[in-house]
Amino acid sequence: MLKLIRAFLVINAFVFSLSSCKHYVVKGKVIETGDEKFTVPYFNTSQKEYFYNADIKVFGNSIKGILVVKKLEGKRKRLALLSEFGNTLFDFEMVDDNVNVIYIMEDLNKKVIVKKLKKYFQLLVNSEFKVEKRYDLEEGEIQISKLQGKRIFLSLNEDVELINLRQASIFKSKVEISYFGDNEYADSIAFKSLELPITINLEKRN
Amino acid sequence: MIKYLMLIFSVLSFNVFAQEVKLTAQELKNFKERVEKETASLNTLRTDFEQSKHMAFLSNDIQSLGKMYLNADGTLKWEYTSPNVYSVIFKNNTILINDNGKKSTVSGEQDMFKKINHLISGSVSGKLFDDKEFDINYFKSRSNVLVKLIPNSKTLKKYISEVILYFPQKDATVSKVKLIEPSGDYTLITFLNKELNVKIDPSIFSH
Repeated sequence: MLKLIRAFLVINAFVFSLSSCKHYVVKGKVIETGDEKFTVPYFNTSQKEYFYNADIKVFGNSIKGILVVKKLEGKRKRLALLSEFGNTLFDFEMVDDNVNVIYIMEDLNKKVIVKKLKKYFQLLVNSEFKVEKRYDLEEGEIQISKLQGKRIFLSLNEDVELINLRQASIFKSKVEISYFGDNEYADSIAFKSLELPITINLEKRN
Repeated sequence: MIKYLMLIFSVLSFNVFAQEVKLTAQELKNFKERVEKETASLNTLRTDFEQSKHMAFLSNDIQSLGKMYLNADGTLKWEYTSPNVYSVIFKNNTILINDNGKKSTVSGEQDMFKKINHLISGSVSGKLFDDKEFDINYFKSRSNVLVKLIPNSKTLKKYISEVILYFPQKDATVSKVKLIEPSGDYTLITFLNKELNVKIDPSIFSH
C-alpha cells in the first residue's frame, strides 16, 4: 500500500506538470438556455441504498471492493468504499458542495490522495447541474455545466438519458464517466481519469 | 397502571437476559480447559460462513457467503462464493488471490497480513487466549461465552478496535466473530456447518 501511495504522489506531481493542452470542443447547434438545471438520475432516490462491486485500478495496481452510496435527507449523501472482507477503506459525507471525511484508512489518509478521492467521488454522485449551454446533436444533446471550477459536458441520448459525463478544464479533459443500463440504478458505471492512470469500474451488486 | 408495570417488567427482564457478566475465575478456568482440550486435537477445520457488514447509516447490512478451510499448520483459505467469487489463501507467508479466475500472488511478509492471518485462524481455532497482541476479557451471556479482544499493536488498532468471539455454551469452537472498526461499524461472521478434522484435499490450498 505504501508503494502505491508513493507512486501515486510522484506520478501525480509529474503528470500535473506535464499536462498536455488538448482542448475539448463540442460540435453542434447551440440551443438557448434559461435558468435550467439537469438532474442526474443515478444515486438520487431518497433513502435508497446503492451497492456496487468496485474494481479500482491505480497505476497498474488493482483494488477490489464494495461501493455503497445512500442519499439521505435533502441533498445529503453518504458514500463508502469497503474491502471484500468488509473493512471500511473510506467513508465520505456529501453536503451541498462540501465533502466531509467521516473515516479514512490511515494508509490512504494523505492530503493529495484525500483531495483526489473527494473530487472523483463527488463528481460520481453529484445530482444537480446548472445548465449553462446546450448543443443539439444528431444523436441527442450535450449540456454544459460547471463543477469543481471546471466545465462539465453531459451527453444525453435521444431519450434525454445521461450516458456520459466529461469534466474538462480549458486545456484538457480530466475525467470521463459512462453509464450503462437502467437509468435510475445503473447496471454498470465506468469512471476513467484522463489525467492519471486511474479507472473505477462499478458493477451493480446483486 | 398494570400496563406500565408490565412494560417495566418486560424491559427489566430483557435487560437481565441480554446482560453480559464477567466469568468467575473458576468459570474461566473451566472454559479455557474445555477449549484447549478440544482444539489440541484440531488438525483441520472446514466451515461455511455468512459475512454481514453493518454500517450505521445503512438500513440493510451487506451480506456475503463463503467457505473457510484451515489446516493446523496455519494455512488458511477464505473463499467467497456469493455474490462474488473471490478467494484468498494464506500459505507460507504468501497470499494467493483468485478473483473469479484471475490469479495473483502477493508477499505475505508484511506485518499487517501476518496479523490478519493470525487473527482469523486464531479466532476460529480458539488459540488466541494467551496472545500478547490483545487485552482479553471473558464474559457470559445466556447462550454464549464471549471473548473480547482489544488489540495492543498499533498496526491492528488502525483497523480494528475490538474483536468479539462467540462460543456457544456447549461448544469449544467459535460460532461467530464480530470485528468492530474504530468508527463503530462492524463485520459479523457467522460460521455454519462446521466440520472438524475432516480430510481437506491439498488442491484446496493451491492456485
